Amino acid sequence: MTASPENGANLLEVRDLQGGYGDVQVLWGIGLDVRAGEIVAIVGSNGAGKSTFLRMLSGVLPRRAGTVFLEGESMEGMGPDVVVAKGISHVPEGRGLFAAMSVEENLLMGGYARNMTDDELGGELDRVYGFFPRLAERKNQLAGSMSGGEQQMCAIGRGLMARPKLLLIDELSLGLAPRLVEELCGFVKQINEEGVTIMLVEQDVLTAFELASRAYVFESGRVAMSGPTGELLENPEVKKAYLGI
Amino acid sequence: MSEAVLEGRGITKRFGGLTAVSAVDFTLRKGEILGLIGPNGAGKTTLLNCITGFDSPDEGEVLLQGERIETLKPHAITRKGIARTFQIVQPFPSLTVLDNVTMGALFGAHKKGQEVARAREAAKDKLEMVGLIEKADHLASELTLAERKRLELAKSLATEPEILLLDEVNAGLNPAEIQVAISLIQKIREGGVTILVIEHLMKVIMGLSDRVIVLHHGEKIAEGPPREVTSDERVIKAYLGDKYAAMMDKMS
Repeated sequence: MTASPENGANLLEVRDLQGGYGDVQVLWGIGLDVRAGEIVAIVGSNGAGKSTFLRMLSGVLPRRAGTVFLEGESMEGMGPDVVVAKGISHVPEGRGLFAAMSVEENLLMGGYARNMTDDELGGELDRVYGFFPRLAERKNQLAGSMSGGEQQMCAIGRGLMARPKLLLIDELSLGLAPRLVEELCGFVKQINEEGVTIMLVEQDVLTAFELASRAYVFESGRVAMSGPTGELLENPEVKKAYLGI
Repeated sequence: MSEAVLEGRGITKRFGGLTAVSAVDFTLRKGEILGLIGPNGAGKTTLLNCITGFDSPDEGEVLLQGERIETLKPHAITRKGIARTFQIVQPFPSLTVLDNVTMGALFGAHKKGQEVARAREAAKDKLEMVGLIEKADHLASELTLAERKRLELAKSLATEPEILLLDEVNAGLNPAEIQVAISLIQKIREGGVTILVIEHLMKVIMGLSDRVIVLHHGEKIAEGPPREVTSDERVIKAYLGDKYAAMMDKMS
């Protein structure tokens, strides 16, 4: 593994980030910080810009204005391949696996941008199989033939193959049985304890708040609220707008 | 107890060596909401496919008001008044949201030969219902995943079904949005539509279902009122997990 920045130091700093699709502006100046070692959640209504934000962090969508710093280094102009190599992996909404490739081939694709030797790739595979023994059992199975929970494990595993400092996960619980959500949360905690900082976009606000220590609430492309998840849970506005209580 | 509108008897579907659905019986009674839950890969969507003609069952019968329909094609089944949504959403990406729903209205059960202008009006009503009217002129490809799920619902409603089968139509909604979705589905039921709902969001299942069926490895392992089913040991082990079961206990 690459050396992790010291816990508590700012790993990611985002200032006034703006962007969108075509004529439609989605993000109107997002500012946030992620400290090394944390799990941070982003919650908000559909269309608030959460997935767009992740896409702009990972360089899949161009950033129109604003700055992103990873360990103090500006990420201006960096495309997705460079972003991965710098240490940010993106697990997209709906997993985005290569359905007609085997589990192991999917994982290997995740290590591609890092220019690793075969030995290094093998080491990363072992590490991912350590987190997800079920992927090791199914390494020759086609990714598209696995159940939703296993596919999500494979998508996270593929993200980990690039040895990220920061792992972005879009909709961990989407379409998964309650028991599997519980299991995947356990994996995410374990991955975090091994030193990977995690940013989670999640519609299941309770699950997100339980996993994360801090959260940002997005509304119409802006940060409407932020703070420790314990405090946000007690906030009447959050309760009403996002928990339906 | 009201009459059965849709019945499955011994439905079995195999894919090669895998039995995806194994001798499943079910009854959908007029006006009820029936929940269908089970682990990923349990056979829920395959059962739906067998009802709607996307898969033909290897064994068993599907009866719509007593008439066998398991050999009919999907379009014929739609015109008999059964509509469905797709878990993997199926919009026409390069058509507008309104045109997507207009297609449903033109195609549906009682609308044969209907003019486009009227179909379009009907489609607008459905978009209003599901909260997508402001996106009517957007291309379907521009919608977020959750909006595409709303579009699925509007498309299926536009066929004016008597029976509506919903396959994870609420995935990707946050808890507050789920509340809105629950009232919408209740409103659809009050309009006289009988509903079968597949969902992993237990809040939806518990909030809506009159009865729940649980599938596991293609077999029906439980059936009954929601609270009874969620306290069933086999259901907890196969599907809910201990944490959720404990949460349910605390709430009761």
